[in-house]
Amino acid sequence: MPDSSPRTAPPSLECRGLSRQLRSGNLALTVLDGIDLCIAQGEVVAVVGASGSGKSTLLGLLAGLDRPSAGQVFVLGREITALDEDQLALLRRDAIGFVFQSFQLLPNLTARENVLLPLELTRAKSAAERCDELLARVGLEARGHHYPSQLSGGEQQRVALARAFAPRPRILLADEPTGNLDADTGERVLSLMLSLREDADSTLLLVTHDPRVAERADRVLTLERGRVVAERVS
Amino acid sequence: MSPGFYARMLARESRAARGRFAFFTACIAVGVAVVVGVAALSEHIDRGLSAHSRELLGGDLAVEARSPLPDVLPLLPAPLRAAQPRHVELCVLSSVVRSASGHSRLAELKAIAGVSDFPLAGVLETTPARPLPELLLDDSVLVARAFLDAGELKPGDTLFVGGQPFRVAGVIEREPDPLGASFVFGPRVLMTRAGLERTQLLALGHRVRYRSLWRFGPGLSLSQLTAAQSALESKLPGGGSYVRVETHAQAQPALRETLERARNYLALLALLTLLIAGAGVAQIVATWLVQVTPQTAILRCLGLRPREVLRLYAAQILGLAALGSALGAGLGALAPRLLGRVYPELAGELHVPWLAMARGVGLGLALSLLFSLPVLISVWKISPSRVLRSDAEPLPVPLALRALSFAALLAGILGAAYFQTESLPRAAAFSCAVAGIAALLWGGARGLLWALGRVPRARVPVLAWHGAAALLRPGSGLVVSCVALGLGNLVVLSIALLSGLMARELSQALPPDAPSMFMLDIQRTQWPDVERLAAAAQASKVEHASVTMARLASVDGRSVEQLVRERAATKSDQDRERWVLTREQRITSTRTLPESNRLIEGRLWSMPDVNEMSVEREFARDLGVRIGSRLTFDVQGVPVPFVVSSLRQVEWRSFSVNFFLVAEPGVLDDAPQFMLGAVRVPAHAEQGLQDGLAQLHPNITVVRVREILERASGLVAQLGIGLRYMGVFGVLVGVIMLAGAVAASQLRRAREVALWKTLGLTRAQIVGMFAVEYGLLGAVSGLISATSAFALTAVFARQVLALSALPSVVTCVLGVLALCALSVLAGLIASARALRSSPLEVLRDPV
Repeated sequence: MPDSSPRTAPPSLECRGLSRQLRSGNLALTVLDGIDLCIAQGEVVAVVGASGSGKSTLLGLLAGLDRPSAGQVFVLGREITALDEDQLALLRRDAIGFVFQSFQLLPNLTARENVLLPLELTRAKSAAERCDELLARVGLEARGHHYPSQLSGGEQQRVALARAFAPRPRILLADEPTGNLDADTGERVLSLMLSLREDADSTLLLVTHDPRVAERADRVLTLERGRVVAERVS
Repeated sequence: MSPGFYARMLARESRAARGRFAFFTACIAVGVAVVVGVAALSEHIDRGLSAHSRELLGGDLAVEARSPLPDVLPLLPAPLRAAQPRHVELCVLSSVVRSASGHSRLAELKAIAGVSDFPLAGVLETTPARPLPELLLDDSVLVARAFLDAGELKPGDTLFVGGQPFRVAGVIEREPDPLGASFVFGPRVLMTRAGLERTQLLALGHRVRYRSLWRFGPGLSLSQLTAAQSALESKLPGGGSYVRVETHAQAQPALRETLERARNYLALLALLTLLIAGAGVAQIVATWLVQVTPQTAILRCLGLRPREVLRLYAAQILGLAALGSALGAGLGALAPRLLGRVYPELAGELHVPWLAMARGVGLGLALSLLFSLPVLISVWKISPSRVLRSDAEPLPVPLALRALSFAALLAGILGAAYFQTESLPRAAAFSCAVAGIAALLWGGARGLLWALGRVPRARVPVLAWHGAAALLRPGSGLVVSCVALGLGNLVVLSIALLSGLMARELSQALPPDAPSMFMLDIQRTQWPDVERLAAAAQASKVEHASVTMARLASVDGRSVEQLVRERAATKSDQDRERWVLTREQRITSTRTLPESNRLIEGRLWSMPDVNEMSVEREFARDLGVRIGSRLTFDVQGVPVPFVVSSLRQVEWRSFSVNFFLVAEPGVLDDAPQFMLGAVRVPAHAEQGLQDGLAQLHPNITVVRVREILERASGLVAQLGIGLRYMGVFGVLVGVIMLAGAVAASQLRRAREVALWKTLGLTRAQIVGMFAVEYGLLGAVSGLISATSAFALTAVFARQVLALSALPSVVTCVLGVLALCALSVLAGLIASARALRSSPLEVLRDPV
């Protein structure tokens, strides 16, 4: 199995011997099997693989959303495997942004309120201005008062992008960000996401099954049955 | 997180929550309304008692005894004497009165000396509305309206009292102290003291209450009155024991004590309703928490810590609880107004019961939060990885946190009970009882549901099976509704069963051979006439006993005054203690004990050198005496010593002539005595016998047992109905909970309805399935609560009330059926929206 080569700058994300097993009745399913990975600051890495290959599980473990069965995870040089739930929450609040396939907006909040939320959590100064700036950046400045149910899929994903980038995260994790969008909308959203990433100089880990999306990354890792089977530098 | 953040999130979330949390608010509103209602009523009545305390007492100060009172004025402190007080002397006694037509009835006579000053406080309304001295002369009386309503009398007629004729000068429409009238001894007759003396009833040794009432000027303070009370108690012979001195602040102690007990009981019933509402809140919060799990995962993913999520949701709950509590407090505050509509004489001046409302809101907020906490702890379980995978494993909840939340809940229930009763033992007993019954209902519900699940599918119609399956689905949340419905139903049924049992027992209390009439104050020379009249009335049983009236002077060498003072300091039921020691003791003598008496300790008339006395067991315990104790009685001023030589058990329910005290024959032969008679005559002959006795010997007091039992039975039944209304609130909350649980699962139900319709079921068939589900829920909770109520009532009746009859099974069955019907109705109404939803819309919605 090919190893990832770290750059000289401290890595944003790193894992060593990362494994995850899930229980299904009496059976233990190995979803990830001894992954070693190193992603440098500012890098854009895509993880591709068939459905069930462990891509989303890997993303979840690197984000501190889940706990590995074995191995270690480092975020911005800090090992997170032994952190408790509170510490992981604070880490995500301060350093990580998320974009999901199903948008995951809070349905009872307007688009503007969804974008404001991470700024309120970090008690950011000038939160309202930052929020308006991002809504304008994603082209939804006139739709801020609408609820997610009143927006199209593409619009919802743009709100999700604005929310993810609002606190200027060091790391952005995207799980199939164009998975629920048609090709044209998906292309526009992807371009927007990469543009915002460049502005924020965030590290981007992108999980996708779409090779056209993966092409836009600096590096592409291919997962198969819980293992990295290929790595390609763009 | 800043408070501002929570406030903003609260405002945002509440936009979508309005409809969803209507049931939450309704549960809390009903619970708080009942708590505030009871407290407001209690405050209203207390205020009324205080505001009208002088009316209730009849003045500022009252002196009362069972023997004629000395002149009190010289014994008052100088400042009070100098205030030139007004005063009135009263004699109150029971006697049979007779109209000119010969119809007689037992009445309560109130003879007034000082008519021109009566009443000293309050208003006496009469018809005709003329000054009392014009109406009430030495040869006239005023009668209660009950005499006119029965058609026995009208103004101008003649009424014979103690055999003497009096002209009926008018009707008493309203008395200053209506609560002072006894329900046992008949309607009121007012007369002058001189008129009563004309009847010779006082000379014939009737049981009379002598009252001396005093009214001082407006500037007199309560402390001065209290000082006067102390002075009189120390100076009057028997003061503080045989002679009772009260200020207006202490008026109607028996009534106040009864009200206090009723208040405690109702306060606990009200609290039970609020606790059921709390369970409803927990149920609704649990269902809501499941629904917002995806949003919770998002919040956790974005960086909220579990305790921050809990605070956010707790703030939402408190906001809704505040709304529900405020609404409930407002509704509850209307209770005195409603009381005034139903009972105008209790209307009084209306105040806003701020204190009761504040307490209710406080309880509502506290219990909403405490009941929600164990549920809210579940936010720890929600893994943020749910944003990636909906079947993500739940995270562990810290055990200490879970334990703490339950401990807080239990402590909160105990605290709320203490808050309501101000008594730790009562609060603890209530809390344990509620917890025990709730556990019983929970276990019973789960057990029954498990048993239902074992019924072979092939034996049940398809649609009925699916209806039942919905109830058995894990996480349906309906078991909690079952417990809540069951608790409310348990209260209603228990009260209904117990009051029904007591009313039935009272109305059937007379054993077949029990006397139907008692006759008191019979002179020895009058007994042959009584026997003759009884025989003419076809009496099947005639009993008699001689009675010597006496006062207990000392027990084991210690005076009664001393004992009253000692026990007042240490015993909880001071009035009963005083009554036992200072009451007029009625002593009989007999060589052999009647059938209804059983000797349980000692021997009868076996000690030749002492005067022996046999004491009823419970009375001996109340007196604090045992075998060998020395009792000295004052018989018309002569001290007569006795030694307790035996204890008896008396079957009081035989209604035979029985006594607490039986003296050895021969000891009291020289003492003034009267006779007590008991006869059993056919019901149709009772009035004729009473009329004959009233004509021949008007001094004889006749008590008709059936009448008293019927009135008592009616009172018990009325009380039962009133109390049942309290339990109904508990059921109401349970129904709201059920409707809330159903409404909370609206989306799931809509999807189910859509699928069923797609598969080809008609709306009527789907309604039928839902009806089976809700009906089964009602049946399960009804069955368990009815069984529990039956068992509890039977045990209570047997152990505490010594009643052997069983509660009514019919009432239990009706209770179960009513609960089923209610459940079906509430469930179908709550499911209406789901039933109306379009299958296409629902199935296309990507959840």
